[in-house]
Amino acid sequence: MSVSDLFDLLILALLITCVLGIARVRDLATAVTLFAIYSFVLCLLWAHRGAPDVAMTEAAVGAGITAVLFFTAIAKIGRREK
Amino acid sequence: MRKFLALVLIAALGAVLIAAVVNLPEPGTTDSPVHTHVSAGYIKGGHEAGGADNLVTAVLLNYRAIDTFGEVTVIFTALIAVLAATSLAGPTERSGTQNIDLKTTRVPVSPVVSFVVRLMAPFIATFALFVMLKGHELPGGGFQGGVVLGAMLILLALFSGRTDKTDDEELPPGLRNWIRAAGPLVFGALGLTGLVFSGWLFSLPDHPFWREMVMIGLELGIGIGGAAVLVGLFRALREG
Amino acid sequence: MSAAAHGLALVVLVPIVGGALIPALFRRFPTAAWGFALASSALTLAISISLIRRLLAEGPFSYAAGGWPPPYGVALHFDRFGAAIAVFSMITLLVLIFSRRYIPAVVPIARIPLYYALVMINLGGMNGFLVTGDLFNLFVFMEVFSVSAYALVAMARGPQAGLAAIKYLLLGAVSSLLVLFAIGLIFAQTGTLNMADAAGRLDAAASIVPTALALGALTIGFMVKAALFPLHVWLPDAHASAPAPVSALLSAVVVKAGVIGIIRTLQTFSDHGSLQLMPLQSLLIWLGAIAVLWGAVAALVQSDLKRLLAYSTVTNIGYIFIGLGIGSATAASGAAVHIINHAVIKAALFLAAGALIHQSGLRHIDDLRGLGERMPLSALALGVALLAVAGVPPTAGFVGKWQIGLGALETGRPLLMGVVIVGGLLVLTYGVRIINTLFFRPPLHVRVVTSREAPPSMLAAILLLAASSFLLGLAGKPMLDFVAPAILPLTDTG
Repeated sequence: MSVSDLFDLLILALLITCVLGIARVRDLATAVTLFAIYSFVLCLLWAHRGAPDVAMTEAAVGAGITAVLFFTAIAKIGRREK
Repeated sequence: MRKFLALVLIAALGAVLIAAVVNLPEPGTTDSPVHTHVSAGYIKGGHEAGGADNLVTAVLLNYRAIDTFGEVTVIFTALIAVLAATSLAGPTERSGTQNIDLKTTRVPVSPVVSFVVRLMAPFIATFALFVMLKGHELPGGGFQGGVVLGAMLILLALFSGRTDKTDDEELPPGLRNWIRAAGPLVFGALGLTGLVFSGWLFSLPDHPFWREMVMIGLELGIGIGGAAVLVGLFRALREG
Repeated sequence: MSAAAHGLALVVLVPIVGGALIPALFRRFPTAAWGFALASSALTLAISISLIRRLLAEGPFSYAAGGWPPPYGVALHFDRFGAAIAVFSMITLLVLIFSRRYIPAVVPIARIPLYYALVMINLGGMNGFLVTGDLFNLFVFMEVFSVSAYALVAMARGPQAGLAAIKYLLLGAVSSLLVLFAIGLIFAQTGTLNMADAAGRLDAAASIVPTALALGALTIGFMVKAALFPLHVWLPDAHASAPAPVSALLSAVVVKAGVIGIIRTLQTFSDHGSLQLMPLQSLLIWLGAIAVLWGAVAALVQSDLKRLLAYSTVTNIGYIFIGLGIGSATAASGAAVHIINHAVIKAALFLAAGALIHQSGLRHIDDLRGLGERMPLSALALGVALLAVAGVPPTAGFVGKWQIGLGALETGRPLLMGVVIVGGLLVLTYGVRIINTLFFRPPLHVRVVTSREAPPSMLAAILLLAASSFLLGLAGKPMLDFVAPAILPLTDTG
């Protein structure tokens, strides 16, 4: 197993951890933060897999702007899941 | 019991998905259909046929321009949708004390943060413009650059102390509506002018210089329109 | 390339660009947006009619968007199914005419341009969905009309509409993801997104498992959009709480996209050597049969007029799927004709109901007693459309249902014929009940007595649609002959 494969495995493990975390937490703000982390990790995977265009989109849209919009919405509805 | 059922369902679904993905052609191998059929044609055509060093941009703006037209329409429609939907709740219908009205409750912004944000803004804007303008040669393009530009504008709106103004639009409302629609409109213009250039709707001109100019125009339309849509979404969510 | 083929891209370009222009052009004069939307939908209708003329002259034809030959570019394709865009454009046009007086009453004036923009973008998305021959393009235009449809539901006042829109949005987003996932699987196996190309290359794929999953995901995804039982749960809420013209548009046009998506899916996979479509089509028959009965019974117990009509859509989608599932020439062409006829009838029903509800301010059926005397034309239109939706001969609803029932008999399924008939009788029961309430019961509610007939713009749309839902029944034979060549690649399960 090469270093490159190990990197992929590490990223996949991180992705799964993030997703499980999003499913478990009751606090919306934490969930959104985890979601942003998920996107950022995914962006690393795209970059590593040779898709820089997708990686840039993922970083800007997934980790950046969606999180901001989610936070704006959370400010309206409250951060606790009912 | 419900939890158990849900777990069984998810396990079954997961098994089906994994079975399908495992049976797909091995990713990354050169002889899988993904690499031998249409993509191979794009790569063979290369810069000359696609009109851009970045083949992703060539596919987005040239080979499959009508798809991208649909995508920018979806982005624009998302803003229209949020504007249409946020109107109905109205400030009076909202209740509950935990709701924070960002207009009235201002978190005090540290002067350091405010300064850094304003210091960074021109650099971020330059980078966004670079990503848009160079999209046909390097990774990036209108969508990515537009999001970066939009993020910068939102950052400014959040931290530059402008939140105290109720209507803090930088642009006159008449112009703003045009810029928000820039994506679909610029693409629509390409759709129509394509007829003049080469006899097909949604086609780029054959002359390399004009083709590059049209591509840059499209990237700017997507990017600036996209940024305006994102700022609009942010405002609608904050104020609506 | 003659002028007509460009029309294939123009039926997408014109409404979407028109819709994108509306918020910018009419910020200062919101009510004038109506005229612009009407003009661009009329232009779209004219283009689609020119396409049909060309289709009749030289048969199905394609257009390479951007001049790139398929599979490198996006191919647009026009066949006899695509001809439905003319009907859908016409319905959108009539819905717009109806909206002129209706929308200012229910939407804040500054938001009126948004409404018209969404309707036009929805039309563009529907047209793109119908004429595309490319899988990813199909997904893109599905998103265009879906996102605009969610927003149109949310435009109604009150928290109910918001909730209904969220429900619609969540289920719709899951279905879109399923479709996208299936497209990814197909691309990974064939390396192409062109439907015809992919259909030919799927056979050569190394494994059948991803192909089967793609078929399943496409079917379930489009089932949600088509609101086939048991995935119809979003429909009654969304169609009942949306503004009346939006309900008409969604029930008549937008759910049909799901049906057409399933037809395209079945046609794409029908050439496949080892993948059997029989079990899937049997499943569609069963689900369709349950939908017919469930929708009819659920409609019987509704007291809200619009909710009742929404359940009637569930029933009719059931009929269409029975026909598609049987797949014989008789049943499938009946289903295809029913797609069009139900669109016209359901638009008439929702617009007429919308006029009655709007003018009286009442939406419970029992409250509407005696309204036929005050609003005779709207009530008459509702009555005609109710008889048509029940399938009373010689109305438009009869043609499709008769063909579907006939197809069931021909393929040795008398039980299914029974379902078709029982469903029709149940629909007739509530149809007659509403007609009785409107015309033969004394008014109970004071608002009924003070109600006045709907304004001419609303009446024009309603009467035209109601007349068509009667007259299209007389044109049953030519319509069946028209669609027959397009539907044939379906697998006959007889």
